[in-house]
Amino acid sequence: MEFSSEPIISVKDAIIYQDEIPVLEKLNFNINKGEFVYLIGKTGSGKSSLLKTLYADLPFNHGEINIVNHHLKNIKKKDIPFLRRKIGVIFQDFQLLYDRSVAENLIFVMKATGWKDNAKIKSRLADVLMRVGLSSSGNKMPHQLSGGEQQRVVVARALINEPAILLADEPTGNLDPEIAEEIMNLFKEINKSGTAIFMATHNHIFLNKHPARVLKIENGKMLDSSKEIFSFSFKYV
Amino acid sequence: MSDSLKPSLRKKKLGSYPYFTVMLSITLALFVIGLFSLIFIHAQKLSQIAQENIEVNVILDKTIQENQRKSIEKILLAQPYILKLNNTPQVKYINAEEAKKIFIKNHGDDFTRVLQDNPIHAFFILRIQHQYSDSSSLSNIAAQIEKLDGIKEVYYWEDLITKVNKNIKIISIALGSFAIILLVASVLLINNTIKLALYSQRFLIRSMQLVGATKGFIQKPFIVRACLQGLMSGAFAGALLFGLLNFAYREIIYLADLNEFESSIIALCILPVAGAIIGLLSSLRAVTKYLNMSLDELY
Repeated sequence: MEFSSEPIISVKDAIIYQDEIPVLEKLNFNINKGEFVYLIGKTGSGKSSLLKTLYADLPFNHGEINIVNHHLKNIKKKDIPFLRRKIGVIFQDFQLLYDRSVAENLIFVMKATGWKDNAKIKSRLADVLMRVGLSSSGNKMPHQLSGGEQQRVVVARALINEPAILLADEPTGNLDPEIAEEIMNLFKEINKSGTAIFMATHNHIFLNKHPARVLKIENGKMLDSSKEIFSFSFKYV
Repeated sequence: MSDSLKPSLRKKKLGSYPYFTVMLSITLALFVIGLFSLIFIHAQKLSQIAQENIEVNVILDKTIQENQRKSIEKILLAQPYILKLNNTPQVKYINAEEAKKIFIKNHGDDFTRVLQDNPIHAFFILRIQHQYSDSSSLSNIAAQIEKLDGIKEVYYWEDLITKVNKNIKIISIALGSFAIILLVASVLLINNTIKLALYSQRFLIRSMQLVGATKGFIQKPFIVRACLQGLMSGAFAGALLFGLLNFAYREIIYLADLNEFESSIIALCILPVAGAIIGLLSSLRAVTKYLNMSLDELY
């Protein structure tokens, strides 16, 4: 796959904070268009904090992060929704709107992100539901779906605006291995169509079965499999 | 209902917006505000009637001629402070003979057995508009009338008037203070009800933020819903009060005399508007608060 020279995510000398405590320091890495990158690290190592910083859920003040042409340093609150529209975010706990159906969840995102034409909304809804294999589940409420199906809805939601990158925070963490594999295959399909994926995971089976670039957080630093060789396992002291 | 359905229904209800509770609470709060407004309006009308029942007596000279009396009457009828009931100015002339009969009736002594002449003067009884019923205005009115030729004296029960006005003032202050406390309590009740209802939606608000919805887009449906609930609750409270008022007019003797239809209708029509405004401000405040909270703060 050919990548353009400009990365989708560019991180330089960044310090990632959680509750005003630095959890990751001197971070430097890039993610290019169409790349598939795993983010691994022990529980509490700062994986989620890094992803939350990338979608501006945590404040970022030290260093430089550029994601889909948005500079995160001191980003204004009013600009955050527009950043989030350009990236797709997949959450471990789904973050669906449980008071409305699957279709209404997706339509909400479309309307919230400026879709006006009802015909286009319907057509896009059908597209994304078909892409995640939920064509017949549009009228179901989220609680009527299995965990795997709910995660598929989240993926569909993330795909609506054709983002350049999907940020996935342990997307299979709550799913059994079989369903987790289905979600992983879905990610691979999406990646094949050109969308970059940055996925935090604890599932080492994926790393072996679907090898890709790995960023590993260890002792507050980041190791990059594209630059150095390291073990994917962790030592718990 | 089969047992298999129960868990899904329970799950569906979790975190859902408590429509009925919110509507009931807002309706009750607005009902209390409306009820007190009606009590206040009727108390004002009662004070007005009490003040308008105060009489000012204009005693005429014994030697006054009929044309001079008529001229005084004409002047009095034209005064702005004279109360008009059904467009009729409340100026009543009592001639000396009638005055004598009233005196004898009130005091029981028939002085005509001792005196040959009638010592009682003819007089006018004036009823004054309530705006002029304070001691200072009455004193000015009396002084103005006394300047006319043919007037012996003007008198009114100053002590009674002072007491009436003082009591009305005390009651007005008490009612006003109570109204302010009640209004604040009701507004706080509505505000807290909406705040609590939106508390159950705080994670929904966060989810909306995470998928790229702007602040305004998220706020809009919550605000519209709270406004509509306030509007409907106000209309419902107003309708209940209107029914209650008509029932009270039918059942409580003399209450209909205090009927201030226009003011009462205005007060009842304000309830839906007040409900909508309180709903708007409360929901705006609550949603903005949750929009600005971090995940840790939301938990």
